[in-house]
Amino acid sequence: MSGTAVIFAVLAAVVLLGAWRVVTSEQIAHSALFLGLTFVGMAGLFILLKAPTFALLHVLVYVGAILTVVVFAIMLSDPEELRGAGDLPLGERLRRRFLSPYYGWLPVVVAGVLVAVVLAGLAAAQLPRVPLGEPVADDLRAIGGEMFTRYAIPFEVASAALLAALIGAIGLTRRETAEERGRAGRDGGAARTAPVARVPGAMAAQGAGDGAPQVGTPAGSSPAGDRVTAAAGSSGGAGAAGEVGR
Amino acid sequence: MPEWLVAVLWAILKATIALAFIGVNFMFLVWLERKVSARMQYRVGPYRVGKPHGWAQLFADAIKMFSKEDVMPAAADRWVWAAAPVVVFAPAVLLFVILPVGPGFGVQPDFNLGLLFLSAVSSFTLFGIFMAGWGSNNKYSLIGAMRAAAQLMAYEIPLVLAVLGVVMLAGSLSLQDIVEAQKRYWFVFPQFLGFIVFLIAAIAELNRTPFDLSEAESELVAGYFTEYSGIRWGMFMFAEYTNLFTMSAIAASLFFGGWNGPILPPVVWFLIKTYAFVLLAMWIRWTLPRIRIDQLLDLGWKFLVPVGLLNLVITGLFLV
Repeated sequence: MSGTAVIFAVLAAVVLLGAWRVVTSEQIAHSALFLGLTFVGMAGLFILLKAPTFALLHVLVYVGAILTVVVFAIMLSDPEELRGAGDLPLGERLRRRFLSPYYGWLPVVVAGVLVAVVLAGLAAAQLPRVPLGEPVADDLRAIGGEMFTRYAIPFEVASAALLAALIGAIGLTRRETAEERGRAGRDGGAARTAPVARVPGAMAAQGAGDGAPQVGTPAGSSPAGDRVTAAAGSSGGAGAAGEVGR
Repeated sequence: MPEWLVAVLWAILKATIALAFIGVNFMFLVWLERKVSARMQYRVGPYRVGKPHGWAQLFADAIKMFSKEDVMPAAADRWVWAAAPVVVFAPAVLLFVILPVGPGFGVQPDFNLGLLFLSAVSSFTLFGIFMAGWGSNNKYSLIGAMRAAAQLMAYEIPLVLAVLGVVMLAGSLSLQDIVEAQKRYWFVFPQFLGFIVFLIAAIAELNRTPFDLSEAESELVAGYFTEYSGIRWGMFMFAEYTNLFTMSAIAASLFFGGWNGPILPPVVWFLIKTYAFVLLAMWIRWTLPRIRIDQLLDLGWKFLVPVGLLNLVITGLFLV
């Protein structure tokens, strides 16, 4: 076995093991971390194919952007739900893995069907075969040029779709905030800090909750609270939640 | 000797020199930070251990750090907690690969995707911070990590926008080419707006005061590394000071002509400019108070991003 083949085997094993652990981890935080490991392995495969641009772009987009948002969402969620059922007895774990439809055989069947579809598609597409270690088209300048000429319209459509998703996310957060604020108005000033703090996530509320009872004055808390919640909507101000209690 | 063996040995030699420099630089910067902060607060700073001016203090610090007990919280997520310092530390060291120390001198300064490498590798830092904050199973750590995530997301974009202006002028992503392109004039003059954005965003990326909300000791104990002690804590510090040096070196290379300069050898110019930025960062840290998190995010999204975009538009207009 040549050196390249050994490296390929190691990277492939990293990718497959990582991907397997993404779906089997009991804790979603672990799933996110194994997803990162999978991405790193994929980047390694791109480097092995002599395509460093794709490797770096892969890391930049998937680790730097997508995984960051995933991690962010995890940190904003309720930790009690997320820590998961880590310490199940062995019998229960085995039953889950092999017998129960949700954790056991149903995902296997779905994954099998998907793999079959992908393999069938690959067989039908007859992709050109590039030998391992042979350089592929990998030039940032060329990629940029293509993106702004031949693929300008798909590029713009994708941007518009992402922008719509962004605005939608902000809109969803904002509506929730407005409702909470209306309820807080009926309850009176003293209760104000708590609902505002609950919006961005329960974990942040723990920290904010420590400060809230001591502060408690409506005059001091409401303007800051409103602004902070707006920031949480627009830029995912996780840290902002920690400040609500002030 | 076969050719590949020479290449491998050469690479090992260069990496060893870089690693040795990183270690020495870390100890020097810690000592320097203590001395600078003392000066700014009308104190003397480390003085007793080693004359003159407590130069041996850093060895005392290092011995203390190594001999401290390694305490793991009982409720910690063991593997995630233990791996976090390494994940924070590794990208800091990796970034040394692209630094141009002199003409054709450095670990791999003519890497034609240098700045892409910079942003790709530095995205792992956030990952490590998340692992530390989550793995500690401590609310202060988690809030610190969340702040770090919000902050790094908000400031990564203006940082890249500021760098892009320079890339447009130089027409290359390689730091070596960018420094070569500044033989006649420094890019700080045509890119002054970009430089301001870069400076603010870089200090925020480094998590230094006035932007160190993720480790604000007055409210979060020590933020995401509250639960770390001994050498693991040391690795976070190591990464922080190494990143400070790397970011300063990148600022010097992008905007102040890197190793270009008269009379003195290029390496000396590189070090002078880099340490000037290090001193500037320390000066800012010990002068300005910490800002609030909502001010921080406002500054990032509502000021730096628009200014960065404006700078790109102006640069583009001039180039056309």
